[in-house]
Order: sequence, then structure tokens, then C-alpha cells
Amino acid sequence: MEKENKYRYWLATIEGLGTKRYDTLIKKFGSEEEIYKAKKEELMEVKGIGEKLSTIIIKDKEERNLEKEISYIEEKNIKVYFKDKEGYPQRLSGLENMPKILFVRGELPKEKIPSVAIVGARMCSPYGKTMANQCGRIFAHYGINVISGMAMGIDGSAHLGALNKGGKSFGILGCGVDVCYPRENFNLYRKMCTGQGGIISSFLPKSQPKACNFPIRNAYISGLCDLLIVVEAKKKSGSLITAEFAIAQGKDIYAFPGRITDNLSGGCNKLIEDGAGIITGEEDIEELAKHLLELKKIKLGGDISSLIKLTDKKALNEVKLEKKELLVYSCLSLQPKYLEEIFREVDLRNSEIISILMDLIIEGLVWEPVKNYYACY
Amino acid sequence: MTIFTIVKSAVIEGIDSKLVSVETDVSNGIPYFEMVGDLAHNVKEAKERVKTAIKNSGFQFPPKHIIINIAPADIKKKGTVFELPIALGILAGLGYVDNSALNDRLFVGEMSLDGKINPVNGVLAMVYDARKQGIKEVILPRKNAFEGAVIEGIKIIGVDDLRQTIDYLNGKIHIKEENLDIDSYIKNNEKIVEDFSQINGQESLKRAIEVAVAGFHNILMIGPPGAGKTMAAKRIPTIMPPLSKEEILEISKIYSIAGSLPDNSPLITKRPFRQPHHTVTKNALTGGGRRPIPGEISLAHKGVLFLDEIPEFNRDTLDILRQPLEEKRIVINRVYSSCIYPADFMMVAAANPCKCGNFPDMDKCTCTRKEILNYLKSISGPLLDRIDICVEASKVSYDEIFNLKENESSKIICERVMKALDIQKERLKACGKKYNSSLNAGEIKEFCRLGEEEMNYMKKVFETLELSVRSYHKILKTARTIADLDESKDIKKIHLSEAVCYRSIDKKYWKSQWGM
Repeated sequence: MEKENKYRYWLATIEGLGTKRYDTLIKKFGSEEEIYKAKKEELMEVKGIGEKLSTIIIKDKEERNLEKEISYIEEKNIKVYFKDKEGYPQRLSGLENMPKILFVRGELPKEKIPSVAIVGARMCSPYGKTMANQCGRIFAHYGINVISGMAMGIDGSAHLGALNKGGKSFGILGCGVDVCYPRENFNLYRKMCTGQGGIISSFLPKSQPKACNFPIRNAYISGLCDLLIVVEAKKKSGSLITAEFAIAQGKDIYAFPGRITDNLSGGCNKLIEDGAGIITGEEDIEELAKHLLELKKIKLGGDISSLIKLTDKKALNEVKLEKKELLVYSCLSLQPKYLEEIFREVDLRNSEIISILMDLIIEGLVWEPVKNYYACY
Repeated sequence: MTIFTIVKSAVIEGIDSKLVSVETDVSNGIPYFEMVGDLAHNVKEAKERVKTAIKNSGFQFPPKHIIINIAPADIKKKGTVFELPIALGILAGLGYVDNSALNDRLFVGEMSLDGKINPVNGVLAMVYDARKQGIKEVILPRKNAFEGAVIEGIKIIGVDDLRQTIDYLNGKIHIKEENLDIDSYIKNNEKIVEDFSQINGQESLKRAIEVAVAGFHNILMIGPPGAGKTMAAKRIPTIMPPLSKEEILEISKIYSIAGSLPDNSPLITKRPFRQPHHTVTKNALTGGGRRPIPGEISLAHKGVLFLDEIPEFNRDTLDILRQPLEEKRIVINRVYSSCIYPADFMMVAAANPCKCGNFPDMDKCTCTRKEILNYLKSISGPLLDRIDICVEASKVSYDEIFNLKENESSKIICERVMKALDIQKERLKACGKKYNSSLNAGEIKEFCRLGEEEMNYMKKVFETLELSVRSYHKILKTARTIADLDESKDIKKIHLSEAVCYRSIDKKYWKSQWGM
């Protein structure tokens, strides 16, 4: 790292030094290096920097081993971007309260390519999971970047959909970029680090996830995207915080509607009530993707027809189900159905129904998300 | 002058009884009263009770040199059964009753200070052993008489107080012998309150239970509160085959020793259903204590041990169940003794799917992902390994509750179960086993052989569901039972798929829930 950047790195990562006072200091001293070299008395003279903050700055300077930190960053191949400097995402530079420093594993989303953020609840329904996954697939299919928070549930499914489709996806973390949180998503993390997108964070490497980090992270998610899609969210949730940021940043928001009795749809329905766009079918998602591409004046190459839609019954016919199998299959939906209900709805012997369900599972048409609950893919 | 008398009595060891002799020596000399013979604290207390009871019954208790020994001296004696024999020994020594009247008779009973004779535990085992040892007559507390009369071929006399006993022994009064016709007693007690026909809906739950009983598989039910898990579990004994007379005696003996026989009923005629609370301690579950008595698992012998809310149980407590589940008995080792209690029970466990009970209804479930994973993970792994069948129960809908459709009664299900059990017995005769659930890996290979088509099917299932070898074996065992229920010689695809549907779960399974 260049000498200049070293001091910049130091100043940008002092805990307790906000953007405003950062700028005040720069204005007074001229460069980060001068600040590093300044004595406590000099710092205290600056208007707005009290004794407390000067003590923090001096203490930070004395206690931290900058060389070691920087060599760790270089060793781990973590890229560092500074606000208003080269490489820093343009999407963020125009916005308020954006990080002074960004750590990146992999790459940053390209400016020319549109990016969509797909967010939602961690504890989501299988329906939500499937929709997020499909959403990620469709956008990846059109070559659009998919951004999310790499959390369990909706976030992870959206990443997964995009990555499986071979697209690029970006995870914005509430911890250091070298920390995979949650651990279960290591597969996604690894893929995004190595060629299929990137992992982005404003927090120092090695920092562990803290609850207070996540709202900050949410602001970056909405900042980095051109369009925000909320799949499933409760009325009070991190996803709605993201949506609020998106509104303040002037981004478009779309939401998946849900039943009014479902808590998990409460947040989405509220957004729609407040004027967010509504997604009523897979065509809407495709329209959005095409619209985004038009805005950026990009033409899509490749074969569009390879995209299999969930609602496409033609794919079903190709499998050629027997009459009885179809009877069982047609009573299933994306929402898992309890075995007992299937017994009641299908007029076949119970053991026969079970046998057919097993066949459908083996054929990959049905899965069992929870014991004795069955759902279509 | 020395008078020496021997009165026979009995001591409980494990679930069996042993004959002991209460030897009394009454002689002149310095007034003295001592009891020896490896006596527990509550046996020694008898000294004061007996002394006072003798006085209060209107007998003289002159100052004499009295030594009592309960032989054999190397068995630890406990309990209060020796008080009547001790009193009789002393009274014989004092000349109130003739020594010859004590021969061929066995005495048990606890005494009150006023001479009344109170009931004791374990009478059934004692009388059973007494008959074997050639004793002709047993004199026991009136309240235990009915229980003692269960054993045929031995005279049972129930007595109320010490005075009456002496009069009887001296031939002054006649006490009617207690009699009980077991067969008619069992018949009279056949009234069953619970029945499977009372459960509406829950077809899969009922079916899984039927399969479990038919092969004596342990079963785990998962479902939200109010799904009817407990209701179903309570009805499991009603579809088990009726008890044989020997089994009734065996179970009753255990209950008698544990002091758990219900009032006024000397026999347990129905399959036991035990439901220990999740705060149960290790000793209460397996039996034991300083003076070992049978625990819940032995009280569930030949019946059902129902562990409701199994994740709430102490892990260490449940881990103890491993040995009894394998060996069908529990060995309790103490420094001075070890005893064996039978524990051949069917384990039925129930659990909520998560702490709030609403998973997988994500709309209502208030648990975090971690809480859900941890909740069921807290079930002891080794115990889970011994559960062959797992079934999900769901809340019953309004339509089902008020469904007037006639449900199958326990009797009909029981008939199918018995047929399946007979088939198994016949098949497994050679290896000395009775149930499909007890097959080991080698026997599974022999008895659960699959055809080529079925083999291919299982291969696909194995790969699609990423089964472990252990769960594969469990599926085969369950499929064997389902085929037996179907009276089919070969295991067919339809049996296999049903077994897969009710397959048990393992650690990996929790992780895959919702792809968590």
C-alpha cells in the first residue's frame, strides 16, 4: 500500500471519528499524513475536535500496529477503496453518510452494469425462498448483478439463484470481509470471493458481526443497487430499514405482495401501500430486468429461451407424469403441505399416496422441506 | 431358661423375594432387647414399635433378655415386613403361642403401636416365592390379602391386629381363607376407557403408531401443542396384544414391590402406560436409590414409556435409557449389591417442533433459526439412534374434530397388529427374537431381503435423500413390519416408500430443514 494510502487507511478506520469531523480535520491539516503527525494540542485546537476525540486519535495511533494490519490485508488479497478516490463506487459517492473506506474481496459491481438488491427476512417461508431464488436467477440470466446481505433465508436464496445461473452476485457484510457470517453460507461466500462477484464491507477485517453494524450495512446495500426488491419482510425488520434508506437515496423499490394475514408479508404490503412497485408475476421481474438494461443502454446477448419459469406448465408435461402422479402433484404447491392434508385431498389409498410422493421426490419434482411436509420446487 | 423360636418371613431382592428366618431368643437375665442381622434403619425401628404394640395388645412384656437375629445375616434387610414376625417370635418366646403353630407359615406385616397390622409392599413376589419354597400358609395384613390371593395353591390369611393373629394361631378363632379367581378378575377389569376410535383425522399418525406397535419399534412424534400427540400415545397400550397371565403376574410383581399397585386391585391387567415428567431424576427413571426400588422404565415393563416434551428432559437422564433399550432390563449396581429389574418397554417420545411449537408455520413461529435448530438437537443422539419411526403430527382442523365418520376401533387395529407379531415370531424363531425392531445388521440382511426392483428403488432413495447407513437399516426394519402388517412375504416398493415416509431422523436431518 502506498504511503499516502496508509495514513488514509488509518484515519478512515478510527472508531468514533465521523465523516463530518474527518472533513474538518482534512480541511485544517491538508492531508492525512499531517494529521498522523499532529500532536494532541494541535488536534485540540481545531474547532469541533474536543479533548475526548483527540485523545482517541492519539491513543489509536499509539496502540495500533498499522504495518501488521496492512500486511494482513495485502496477504488476504483484500482490496481497499477510499471515498472520493479512484475505484470508489460512483453509486455511493453521491450519497450521504457513505463509508470512507470499503474493503472488498473479489470485485466491486461494475458501474455500467445494472445491479439489483434482493432482500428479505431471514426466517422466511419456503415460498419466499423459491421466489428469491427465481428472482436471482432471472436477473443473473439478463446479466444483472444481484446484491444482498448474505444472510440466511431470502438473502442467501437470492445469491444462490444468481450464482447457480452463473451470474455475478455481491454480498454486503456487517462484519469484516474475511469473516464468513453466517458460516452456513460459506459456499456462497466462496463463490462470490472467487470470480462470481464480490464481498464488500466497510468494517475492518477480522471484525465480528455486531447487531449495530447491520443497519449501517443495509444503507450500503440500498446505496449500491439501482433497484431494490423486497421479497418477504415483517413490518419491523431490517429489510424495511433498507427500504427506507432506498427511499432517501431515491432508488426504485418493488415488493412481492402477500396475504394480509401473513406476518411475513406485512412489510411488503406496507411498502406497496406506500407506493412501492408491485410484482405480480415472473414477467414483471423480466420486464424490470429489461428496463434496467435499457436504462444503461446495454444489449443482452445469449439465449433467453433457456430460462425455465416456475409457472411454466410445459416443463411439467415434459416429465410425463402418470395420471395418479399428476393427481398428487397437482395438489401440491410452493407452500409445503402436510401429509394429512394430501391424504384428505387426494382420493387414493394412503400408502399409495406416500409411494407416489416418494417417486416425485426421487424424480426431483417435489421436496420435503420439513418432515412429512411436501412442496413443489 | 431359654426359649428359641424361628418365624419365617421374606425379603425383597430385585423383583424376587427370598425366605428369611426371624430367630428369637428369650432368656432370663439382665433386661435387654437387641436385633441383629444386617438391618437397615427402618428395620431397627421395629424394636420400639413391636414392644409397644405387644403391651398395647394386652400381653405382658416382662423384663427379659431378648435377642433377635434375622438370618441369613449377609442379606441387607430393609422395610417393615418383619414387625409381625418379630412380635410373634417374642410372644412365642413368652409362651403366648405354641412354637408348632409357627411352622410352615410365612408372616409379613408392619405394626402400629396399638397392635394393628398395616400393609406392606412386595406381597405378590413374597407369596410367589413362598409357594415355590413349599410354605403352606401365608399370614399377611388384611389389606394385602387380595394381592396375595393372586397366587394359587397357597393358603392366604389376612389379619387385622396382633391379638387376632395370636387367637388364630392358637385355634381360638377361624379366619376365612382369601380367594381370587384371576380369570374372572381379568375379565371384569377389561373395561377400557381409551380407544383409537376417539381420534379423528391424524391418519398418518395413527398409521405410524400401528406400524410401530406391530414391530415394537420406538417412535417419535413431532408436532405443535394440541395436535393430539399425548392423546394418541395414551391409546397405544390399547392396540398392543392382550397380556398373558404370566405377563400380568410379572408386571404386578414389579408394581407390588414398588408399592404402586392401585388401591383394591391386586393385579395390573392392562399394559402399563408410564409418563414420567421431564424433571424426572436418573434414579426415578431407572430405579435404584439406597434401597433400590423399580423405576419408571420397569413400571413400563411390557407397556409404553411415554416421554412427552423429550427435548426438555435432562440429557444425562435419557442417556441411561440406552442399556435398557438394548437389553430389555436394567442392572442397578450399588456398592453392596446389584439388582436387576426387567424393562421391556416400547419408548414413545413426543416433541414440539420448536420452542414456541409453531414451526414450520413461519408466520406464527417466533423462534429464531438458531433456537429451532437447537431445540430438537438437544435430544440425545444415541437415543435418537434407537428410534426407528418418526412422524409429524399437525393441528387438527375444525372439520376433523366434528367429523362424524366412524373411526377404526382399537380392537380392529389390535387384530392386525397381533397377526403381524405372529408372523414375526414365526420368522425370527431361529434367532430367538420376537420383533423386527430388535434385528441387528446381519439379521436385516437375512430377513429383509429385497428384490432387484426394490433394490434399485432403495438405491435411488438413498441417493436422493442422502440417507445414512443407520437410517437405511431402520427403514428396512420398518418396511419389514409394514410388509408383515400387509401379510406380504416379500418387502415391496409400496412398503419401502411408506417406511421412508415414516423414517426416523438424525442430526443431519435438522440441518436440512428448510435448507437451514
